[in-house]
Amino acid sequence: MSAAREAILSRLSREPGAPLPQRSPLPAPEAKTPSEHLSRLGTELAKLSARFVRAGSPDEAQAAVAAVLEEFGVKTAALWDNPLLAALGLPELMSARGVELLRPGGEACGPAARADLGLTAADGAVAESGTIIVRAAPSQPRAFSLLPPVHLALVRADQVSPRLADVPDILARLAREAGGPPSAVHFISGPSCTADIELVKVLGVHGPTTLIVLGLDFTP
Amino acid sequence: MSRDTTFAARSREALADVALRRTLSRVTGHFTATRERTLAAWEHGATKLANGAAARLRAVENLATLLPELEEKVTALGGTVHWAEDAAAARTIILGLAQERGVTSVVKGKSMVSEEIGLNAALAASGITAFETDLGEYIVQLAHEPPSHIIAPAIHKSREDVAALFEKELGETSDGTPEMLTAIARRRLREAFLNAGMGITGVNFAVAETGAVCLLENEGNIRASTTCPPVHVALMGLEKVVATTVEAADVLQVLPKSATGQSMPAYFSVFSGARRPGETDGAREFHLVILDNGRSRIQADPLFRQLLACVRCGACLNYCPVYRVIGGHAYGATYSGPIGLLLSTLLSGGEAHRGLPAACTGCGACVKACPVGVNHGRLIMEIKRRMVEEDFLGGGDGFLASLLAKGYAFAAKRPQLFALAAGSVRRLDPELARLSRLAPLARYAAGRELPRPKEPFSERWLQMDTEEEA
Repeated sequence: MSAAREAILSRLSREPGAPLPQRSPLPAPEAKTPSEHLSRLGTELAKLSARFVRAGSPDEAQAAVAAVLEEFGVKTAALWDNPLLAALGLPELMSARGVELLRPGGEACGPAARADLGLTAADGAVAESGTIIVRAAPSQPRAFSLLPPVHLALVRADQVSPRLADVPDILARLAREAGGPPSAVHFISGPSCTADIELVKVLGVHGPTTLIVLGLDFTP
Repeated sequence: MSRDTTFAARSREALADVALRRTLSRVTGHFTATRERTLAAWEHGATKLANGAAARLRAVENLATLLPELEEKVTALGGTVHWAEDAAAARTIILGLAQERGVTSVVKGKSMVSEEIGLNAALAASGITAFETDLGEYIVQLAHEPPSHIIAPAIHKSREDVAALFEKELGETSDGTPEMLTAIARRRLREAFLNAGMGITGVNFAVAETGAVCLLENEGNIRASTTCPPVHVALMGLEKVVATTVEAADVLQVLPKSATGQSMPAYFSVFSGARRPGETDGAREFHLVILDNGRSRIQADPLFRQLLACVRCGACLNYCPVYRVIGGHAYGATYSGPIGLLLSTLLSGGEAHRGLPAACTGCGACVKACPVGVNHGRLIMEIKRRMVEEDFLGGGDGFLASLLAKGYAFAAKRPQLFALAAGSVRRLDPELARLSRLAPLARYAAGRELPRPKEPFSERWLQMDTEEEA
């Protein structure tokens, strides 16, 4: 143990100061259906300059993805290895349209930086703040949701938590699912943005200029 | 603006800069208006504010147990914890990490603590190129200036200033729009992220019970700095820890609301150690540098301890009538505004910052804006009192250290003193108006008005809903 550590800790007081207020839990939220949570997520995302598309069936989801490929002229896409993306047949859909697919494996940043689109499946969401959540894993590179100019994220209605107060439970769930705390969990609320020059909001500084969340209001 | 002159001289210089005053007025007005609009519509805001403040105050009180717990958890996650007594020690640690790995370029997320320890100059002196990657920080770095605002470092610069700067320093011509200037920075820095040997970030808060390090940002530069380079070094002031994930979420709900009015920034990241086996991005090594640099002395003082609860939201700057006219650079220190006045005086110390307490009018606007209940007014008054006492006692070397070592018991035992002083400010307002009728004071008082202190923010904002309806 370093001398600095001992010296610093020895100077810190253990004497309590004035009595501290106790934490008060927030009142319980109004009970809502997953579909309603998904709607709120969409409403909040729209306020954050993100796009939200709702799909009521696998066909609608595929059509929405196809529309994104078309709109942005996607030639190269970075895709997570993810059961939801596979179940919806999205890798096949993209290949069939001549899109080159980048899959996890090998260092992710260089290839991801060249992709036109990053496609992920969220590990959770928070409705009230318009937030989708992605966790790092071997099949889920961090760069895929960051470096391409467009990030398309799928989220199921039953994954949407109502409030930021749920963040501790969400993190605990992600740690259980991953067999320990994930190396990184990113809460994404809108596209990358700045207002550093004259307070003018500009989208797409270092991350995606466009964030599109595809809300799946059906059981895939 | 030179740091070598006195605070009074720098203030005069800032006051004479009409363009700066116009910018400051617009920027601080924008921040306060946005903040008040969003706070008014904030569900359960009073409870959230109280919980956030309680989490911070409890943490500051329990640093002696939370920091070893954090160290244990970070280590268990495979990270390495380093302890730095002061700025020089922190620089040595980070330089050492870079040099041992043969790092020649680093990318940096915005970190006020990194400014505090003068890291960029140290890196440059060792031949290591450091890229500030937050757009505002990138701009002030290119201009060889310090940041002028905690949240918006380059806000004193116009788009024309930035366009001219990019042309001169980068050889990049533009149409001068923020969009095109941002695109230039994106292209330049994207390259830097992909080639850097190390990413250096600050820490918004760390969680003792899990070892998680949490960072908030809007641009994605912190994500890129932690995703692409092989090493992530996070530098934190020792006060930036909270006990539990529940308390971290309490702070999370308050910080962006108070800083920018956002419920969440574009990116909130929770890092638990380095990348795991099989992962194909993220730093392979994680280092956490815990910096003291005067903080433990502040923590040991029962009155000044509350200062360490600060979450660096910048709200007190935007509300401060002095900051609003002189801006950040006039303070001549890393931290500006009410919180900066206190931190600069107590942390970095020395005669250089002796003039700073004069930058407080005692209006109390900062106290009302503070989401964690720091009572800047009372603390600044106490610094002034101790300074006076020291002068009578002869002053001399180390007087700032002795500010914290002496005399606090006097004020700590007399909280009514502050209440009395604040009350008298409230009463002064109509008096000043009446004075204006008396020559020769008329000329002095004309056009002068004391800020009208409202109820403390914690009470006022409870009434906002009803005010809105009325």
